[in-house]
Amino acid sequence: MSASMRKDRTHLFALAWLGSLIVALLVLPPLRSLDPLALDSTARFSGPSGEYWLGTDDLGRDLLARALDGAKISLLVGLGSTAIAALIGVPMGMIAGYRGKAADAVVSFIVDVVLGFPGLVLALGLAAFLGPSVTNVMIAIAVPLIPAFARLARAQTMSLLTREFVEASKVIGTPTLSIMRRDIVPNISEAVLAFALVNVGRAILIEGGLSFLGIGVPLPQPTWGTMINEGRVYLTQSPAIILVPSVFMMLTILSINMLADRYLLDRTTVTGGS
Amino acid sequence: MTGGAGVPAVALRRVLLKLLRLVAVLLVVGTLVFLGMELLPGGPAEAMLGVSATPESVAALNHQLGLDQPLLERYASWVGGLLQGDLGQSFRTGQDVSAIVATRLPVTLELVIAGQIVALGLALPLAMVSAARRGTVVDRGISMMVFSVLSTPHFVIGVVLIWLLSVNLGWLPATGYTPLSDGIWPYLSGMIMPAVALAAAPFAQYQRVLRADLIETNSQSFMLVARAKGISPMRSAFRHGLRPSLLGLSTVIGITIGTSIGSSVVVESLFGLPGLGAQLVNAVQARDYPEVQGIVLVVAASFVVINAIVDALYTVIDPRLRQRRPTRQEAVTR
Repeated sequence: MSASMRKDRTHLFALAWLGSLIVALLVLPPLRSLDPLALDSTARFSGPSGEYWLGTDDLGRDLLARALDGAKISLLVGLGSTAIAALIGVPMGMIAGYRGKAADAVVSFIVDVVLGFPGLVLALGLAAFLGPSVTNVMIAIAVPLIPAFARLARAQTMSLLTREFVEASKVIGTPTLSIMRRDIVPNISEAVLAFALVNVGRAILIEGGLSFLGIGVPLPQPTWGTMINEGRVYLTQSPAIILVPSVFMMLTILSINMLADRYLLDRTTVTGGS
Repeated sequence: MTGGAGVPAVALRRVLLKLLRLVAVLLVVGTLVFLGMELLPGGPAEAMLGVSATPESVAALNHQLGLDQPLLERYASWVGGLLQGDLGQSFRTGQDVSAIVATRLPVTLELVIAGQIVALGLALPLAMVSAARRGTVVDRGISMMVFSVLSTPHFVIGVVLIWLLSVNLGWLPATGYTPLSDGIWPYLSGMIMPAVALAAAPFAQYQRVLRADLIETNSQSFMLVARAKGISPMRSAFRHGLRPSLLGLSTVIGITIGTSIGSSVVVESLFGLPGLGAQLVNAVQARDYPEVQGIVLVVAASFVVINAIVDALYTVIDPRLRQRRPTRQEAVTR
């Protein structure tokens, strides 16, 4: 039992970080009137102080305010693109798994085509063609994530088709849409959710990469990726400019991955494996 | 998807079907890349010229790019050009995109190979230590470290490396690339940090997969015999446990080589390596769409072909895999 207790602690840490991050980004800016864009020429490269808890960057902008504002974008894009990918990929996979034959072939082919591009390159290309905006970045990141959802939903649906309650529904002539809605969706939603959680972490990683390359969410909106990119020049004077967003980013993705890991573990122990 | 009975005719049919599918995927990928340019808001000329666009300059550029021709005609000539290795011309420099690819692709390949060497070089010993000391503080420490690496973006690892090794210690140049012909040390000093940054995620995946497989192998009877003979855990892991455990790893290697091509975009930009990825970012930032188109096409095509080769190799290596093998997503999220 010591193993599960150990897992408990890490997952509490993850919840604590994500919880305080969300509370901080909701409460701190209005409470302390934090402005991620406000310049303070008297306090450039300053260390942590009562006014600037985590110090300031090269233009005297509050690092905490910027990191929290960046968190908003990362969480928004992470959740948003995962939701888009799931909403497109899961129905695709369900139809492929349920109908089989031609529908399956078409979906598998679409999946193969999307997987023909490395994820980051596809996101980069899409972001370039769609033009810079938060929504477009979400779409650009969502597309490479679709295949995994489609495959998961397809496999899960196929495994359900042989179960008695689905066969019974079919035999008594329940319309396909009702079977999907009442029998399939509730039974695959848990696996999809667990998988979605892993993908939120991946999406945040890709968003960071795009922002870092200057192809993500447009300026002046601060994001973790752009903060790290801009801070590169001042690595000698003030590593904190990079350190702050890096730590925020790492802890957030780490926490999400920990929760996903924990959730998957629980699922396999409850359902008895696989 | 499922394996046949091993009848040669069936096997041949399957290979042919796979080849056909590969060609079809390549065709659709190419067409999508071509159409991408068409779908630009206001057309590529206006997008490339940006705010300085005037009706005259747009018309001139459209003519230069051949965009005043009908769509199907352009598509045909584009495909025709591709078949002759013509990827079009860069909008900025007028250089042949195929020439740009030819000079830059080797750097990316060197980086990807170097990254694989680093990832395997770190993952093998750490997985063996973890498996041999399963459940101990050492194993837990390594697992936690690997999990953290898996959650850290390449560019964060890269920036930290630069800060540590270049800014603070002054051991390695922060950016720049020296060709191998200029000496092995200058080459390596420019390649070490990018390779480590690129290796981070693959390393973490390899360690996790290999550790799990080693532990499974350890539970088998021949490993029990080895230990009963009095061979130390480390030694038995190396002598007897490693080989049967490498199959899962080889699956992930194939996938990771593919994703490394994608990650190289970020790593090359960060370290100023003159590879294909950095060029792609430059082209995107400069809105040089012909160049973006050409590079994305080359990257996607090589990605598809690499994946197909890797897929084919597994079934050659291990007949058991013809029955069932982990899908890409399983291996990635494992």
